[in-house]
Amino acid sequence: MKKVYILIVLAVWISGCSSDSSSTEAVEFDQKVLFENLGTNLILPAYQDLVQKVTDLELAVNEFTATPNNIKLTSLREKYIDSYQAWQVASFYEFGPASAENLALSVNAYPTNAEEIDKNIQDNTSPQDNLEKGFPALDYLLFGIAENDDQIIEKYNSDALAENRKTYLKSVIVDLKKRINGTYDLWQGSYLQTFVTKEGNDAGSSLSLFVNAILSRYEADLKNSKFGIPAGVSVGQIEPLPEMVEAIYSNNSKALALTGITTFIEIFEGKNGTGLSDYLKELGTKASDGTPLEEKIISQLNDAKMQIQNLPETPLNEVIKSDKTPVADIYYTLQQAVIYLKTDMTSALSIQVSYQDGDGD
Amino acid sequence: MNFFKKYIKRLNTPVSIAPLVVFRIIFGFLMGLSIVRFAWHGWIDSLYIQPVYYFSYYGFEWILPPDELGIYFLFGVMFLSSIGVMLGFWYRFSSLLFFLSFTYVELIDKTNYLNHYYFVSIVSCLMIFLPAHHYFSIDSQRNPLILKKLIPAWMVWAVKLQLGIVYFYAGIAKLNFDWLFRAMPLKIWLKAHTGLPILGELFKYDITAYLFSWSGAIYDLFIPFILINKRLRPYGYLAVIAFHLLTRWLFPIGMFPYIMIFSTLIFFDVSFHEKILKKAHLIFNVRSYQKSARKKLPLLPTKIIGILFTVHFLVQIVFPFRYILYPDYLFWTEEGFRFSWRVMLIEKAGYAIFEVTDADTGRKFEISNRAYLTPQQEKMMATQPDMILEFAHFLGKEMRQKGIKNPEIRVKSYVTLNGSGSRPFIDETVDLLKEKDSFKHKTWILPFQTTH
Repeated sequence: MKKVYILIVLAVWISGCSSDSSSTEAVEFDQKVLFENLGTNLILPAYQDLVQKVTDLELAVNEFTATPNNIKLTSLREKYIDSYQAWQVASFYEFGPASAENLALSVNAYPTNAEEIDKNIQDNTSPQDNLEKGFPALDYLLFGIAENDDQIIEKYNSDALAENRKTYLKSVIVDLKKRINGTYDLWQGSYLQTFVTKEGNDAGSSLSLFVNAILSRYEADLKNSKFGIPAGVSVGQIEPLPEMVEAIYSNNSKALALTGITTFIEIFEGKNGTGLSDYLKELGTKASDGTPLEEKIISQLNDAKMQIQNLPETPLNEVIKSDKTPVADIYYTLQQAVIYLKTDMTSALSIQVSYQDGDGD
Repeated sequence: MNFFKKYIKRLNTPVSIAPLVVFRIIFGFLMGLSIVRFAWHGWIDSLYIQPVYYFSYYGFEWILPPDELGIYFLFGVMFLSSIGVMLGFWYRFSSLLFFLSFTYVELIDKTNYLNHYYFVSIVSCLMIFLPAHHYFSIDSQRNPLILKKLIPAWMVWAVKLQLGIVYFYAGIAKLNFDWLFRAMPLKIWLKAHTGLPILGELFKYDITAYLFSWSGAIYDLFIPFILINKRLRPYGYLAVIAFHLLTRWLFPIGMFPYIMIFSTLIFFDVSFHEKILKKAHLIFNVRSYQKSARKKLPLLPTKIIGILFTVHFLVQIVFPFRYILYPDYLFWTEEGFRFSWRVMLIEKAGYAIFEVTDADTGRKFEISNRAYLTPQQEKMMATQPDMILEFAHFLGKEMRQKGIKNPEIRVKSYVTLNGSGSRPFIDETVDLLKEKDSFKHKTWILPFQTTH
């Protein structure tokens, strides 16, 4: 007993001497509050909005295919742009229900394969591959199949393949809706409860699933697909590939990317509630220069957002063709944030990436 | 000299074989169980079939990953031989097979290095030379001539010494500034468990991390000596159970706690082990000592085994200190880090971006690590310079195959160590293809700068 007492005294003395004065302050952070906020105030509303927008989109598709004309096309395009924007907001949560539906890949694999889509229409078959469906396929079908709007309407009116094309358009929207509704239904069912209650930091915990999912989407889509690959700076390529930009036919790349980065900042900060930034703040995590880590991350993300905002309004592929530098710069800014997110943040939260055994004692 | 002789004599005192026999049964059983668990979790597939690339150990590049059938075969051999060890069936052959198959698998991929696997390799190697099958085994049942009641004392002490080294060196490793005076990495790790009942409340405070750090160090340093002492042993063993169950509860460390809890039973008196075997006799009707055993020549004369063991333990004692020969901070460079019982010692995370330059055209592009590595491999590689170098050379080969005649590979990498905040890790101006792995210091690792 005496020994234990000595030990405690020793420990108190040591922690008193140590450089941080916070030794006696408690870290009060309830993961449940974080998950509840993320689940009910961010994730569920994001899917709910997406489901609504896609339902509207389906209606617009039906109206347009019934009477293809200029007014219906304009309305359909609006609904399409709204849905695509809603997707950007929901796109980060690729775990649990979304990964069960393989959502991200099946609704937003780009660049779409226009040639195969044309062939499918010719053969009157439904989409065979992820690159023949989803939003990017709609982008082509609503903006890219002909030079101007009148010709596009023609393609759905008097063209020899008009009926096939309508069928194809419908089958794309049906698949899109099915997967999105499937994901939402699972969240609305029991998954929200599962998400909120799986505390801890092991590979199956909500924290690990969530953080790994948003970071992986951030890297794969926001950083690589939207900027790195078109600018030719990422992943095994030598030349810029401007035609790889998202939404190339509707020339909407910038707006979509802006929604992407804005959403990611909202997720990190937990919108108006508790977010990862609050968790880091409570833990008192510092970057190597002594700044609080959450501030460092937010300022880095805001830098990226500003760079995206400052992109010219000309189509992104044109921007890259004339000078890839501003796009490459966005990539590098986003990458710097990855270092903080993947290294400093995951370390501070001690998130595990696999179920494998660690080193025992 | 006289003292030395006396010592040798003491080591050769005949003692009961019972502790060694019980250890054999426990060890074989736990190994078999670990293998079943490993397969059950699907790790044979995810660790030895899924990866497209494996990180070799320096000097063991000749260890090739077997194909799917081959790896299942290896695990099959490993499982059957562990059961062979447990039952004492073709014991020498079984223990040799177990050691070889287990160690081979461990050598396939450095990613999966764990001190506890190293421990298993060592113990299973020692077991080959120990006559643990000379009682209460299928071998002795079939061939009563090998039945033995007594063995030289050092054969039991060898196992105790190995266990003692694991603890004591794990304790020495904890005697560093971060562990003792910053309570790192426990300060980070315990905070992740504030949601746990009862203890979670305590984990909210830094002082708990200090308490755990210090008691962990004290435990590791003193437990071998406490277990040797007859009077203190019962308390010591309670501490063993409590300590390992606590670590099991908090950290994903698999079977290791159980292996240690059961292995340390060897410290108990002969009478304890004989009681266990007596009880076992009631269930299994095996031959007992009575029949006088004629000495059958063992595989190697005891003396030679004794010398081999002495060499082994000398290496064990010296090897963990090799890090002294390297400059800079051990936890940062990890030069001389492995095979030294440094367990649960550092929290490290990193991010490495490999950039290929085509020297002929000057063009640059990045590599997607995930195209070649599993998430776990990528994570381990990002913080360990030798793995970064190995991967760079692998990429060099890939690039040449893809038609780039003169590739250069550089890495931009950042690492955070015990909450230091991420900082540059590898000199990004160095073409890693021009560097070779060796036991020399890697000059392209940037020094760890402490800003605070």
